[in-house]
Amino acid sequence: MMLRLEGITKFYGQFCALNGLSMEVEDGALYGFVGPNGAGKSTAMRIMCGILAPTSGKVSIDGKELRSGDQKQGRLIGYVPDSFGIYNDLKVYEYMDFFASCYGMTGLTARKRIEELLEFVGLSERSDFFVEALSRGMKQKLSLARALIHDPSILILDEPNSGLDPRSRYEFKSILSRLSDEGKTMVISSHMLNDISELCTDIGIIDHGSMVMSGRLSEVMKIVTSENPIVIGVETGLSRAIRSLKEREMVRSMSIKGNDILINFGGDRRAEAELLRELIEEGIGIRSFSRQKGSLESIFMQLTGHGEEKLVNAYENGRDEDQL
Amino acid sequence: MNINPILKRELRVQSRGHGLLVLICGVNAILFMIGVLGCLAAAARTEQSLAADYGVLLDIYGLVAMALFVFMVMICPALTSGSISGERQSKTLELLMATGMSDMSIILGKLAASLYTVAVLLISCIPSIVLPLVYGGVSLLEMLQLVMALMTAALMTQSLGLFAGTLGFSVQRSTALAYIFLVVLLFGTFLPAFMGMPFSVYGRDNWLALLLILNPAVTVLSVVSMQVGGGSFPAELFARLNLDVSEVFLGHYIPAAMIAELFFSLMIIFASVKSLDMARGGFGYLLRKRKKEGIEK
Ligand SMILES: Nc1ncnc2c1ncn2[C@@H]1O[C@H](COP(=O)(O)OP(=O)(O)OP(=O)(O)O)[C@@H](O)[C@H]1O
Ligand SMILES: [Mg+2]
Repeated sequence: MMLRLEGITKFYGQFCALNGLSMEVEDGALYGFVGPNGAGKSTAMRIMCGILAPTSGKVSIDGKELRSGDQKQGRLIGYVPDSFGIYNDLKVYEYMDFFASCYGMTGLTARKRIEELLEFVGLSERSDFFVEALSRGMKQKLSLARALIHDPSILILDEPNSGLDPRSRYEFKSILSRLSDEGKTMVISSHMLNDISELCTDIGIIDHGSMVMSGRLSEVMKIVTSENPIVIGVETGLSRAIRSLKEREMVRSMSIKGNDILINFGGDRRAEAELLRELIEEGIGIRSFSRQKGSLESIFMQLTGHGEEKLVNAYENGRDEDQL
Repeated sequence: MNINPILKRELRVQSRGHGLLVLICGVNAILFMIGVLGCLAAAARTEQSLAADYGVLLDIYGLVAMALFVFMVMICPALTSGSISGERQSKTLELLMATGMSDMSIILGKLAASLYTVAVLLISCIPSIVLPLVYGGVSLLEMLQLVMALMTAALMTQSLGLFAGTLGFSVQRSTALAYIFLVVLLFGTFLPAFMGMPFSVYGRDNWLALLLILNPAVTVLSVVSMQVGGGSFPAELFARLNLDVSEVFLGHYIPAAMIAELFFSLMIIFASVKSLDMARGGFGYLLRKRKKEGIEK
């Protein structure tokens, strides 16, 4: 099912949390929804679920416009909020049963579905535990199972990964990719950019309540990669290389780390090749020459951060991780 | 049958705790004590006069009934004030809303759960007030009338508590607000009548004074007075307040008041549903709705 937001604006009193946000999630897509804290991700997701009414703009599923508080919307969408939303006075099974009956499921149908889902998220053995007694990761899984109870075609997950250890994160990720394989349309907001880039087919980057960039993940990566810095590994003649690079117009900025030079280069591929040839002709010993590969993190920093400083940081962080 | 899931959940949780049991035992113990003290007083008087005075039993009945009213009215706002604000605080309200369950069924489920609690409490108290029945002072029908008046009072105070909980405050604040509503209901409704008293300008046709009809204490007192004191209560009150009300009105005061109170409760319930809907983003919703209606026209 296709989910579309058009020109969504949301004011909290005087404060504008969403400013003409538009996005389109195609059928079967796994949409990564990223943005810095306070960008308006949770607000947008609440609006998608119909829990919150937008100040203006419209939400539609398969071309049909939805109003907040619409019963149909509830049937189509499963929502995992950033807070667990857990009744501590219920047991795991009862918790699921409660929500099943909220969707009008009772008796055997409900029981089968609940058992199936608890099995799916790996909580079968805990079905007699009080929800209170679950660990954070388990609660998150329960929350997901709850959102799936009515077999929605669209799943909206608000930071499902936050606060999970690497192992739970991995488990959670594999559950999500299984759901995606089943053909569910999903929107996931997350700060774990690596996790997102491994899973997603599409991505939307939001800042200050409006979309900064969106599209297929591969395309977004392509665009951004061409704007990434070129890393030149210099073996001999470092100072000569720096001097030479400084003279060129296409080199917009430069930073040096050890024997590597990072340049922000404005030319196309051909110009890149030209640059490399010229540097070699000048007798500089070049060990490596390549565009830094676009990571989601660098896109994120670039679009929501300010200036190259962060770009370099992202690069250094990337290197540190490599060494580990 | 499809029982409201919220009601089902509340009952399930309630059946696990001991809250209701403690409440029932506590209230009954106090009612019983009032009854026993009354009997002792009656016995003392009987010894003096050497003649059995069954009228005293009726007085005890009245006293116990009023005590029950006071307990109920004290408990009810707290029973419901946390029901929506608590869900909001535990972040489950948005889950309920996301299920597509209507605001009306959320509100009604909560209300039904607390009405159930009060009904159980009331039924458990019947032995404490049933004594005069044995001596024939009060008929079964009249007992039923008392129960109805008490339940109406419960519904009214519970709806007010529920409404306070939908306004977006924390549990503590909405509980405080619910009790403020209660005070306004029990005492504030006297204000217009009092204000009219010293000024003969308002004097006799002070229609605002009719707000008194919403006061559940006046209604329950009227019921009790009719049963044990010859029914002089509301008439006396209106005379004291210098209000000129017709005989017909006084003659039908109890059913009229009960209908008015039920109607008022329905309005409050409706307001709670609206207020819950406002939590989705409020004014935008109203605006869009109006726009849509405009288009349809
Ligand atoms: N109920 C509210 N009342 C007033 N302002 C709010 C409310 N909810 C959110 N906001 C504001 O709206 C903005 C967007 O909030 P939102 O929770 O959507 O951000 P987010 O992108 O989910 O951030 P995070 O990554 O921290 O979860 C924030 O500046 C926040 O302060
Ligand atoms: Mg958020």
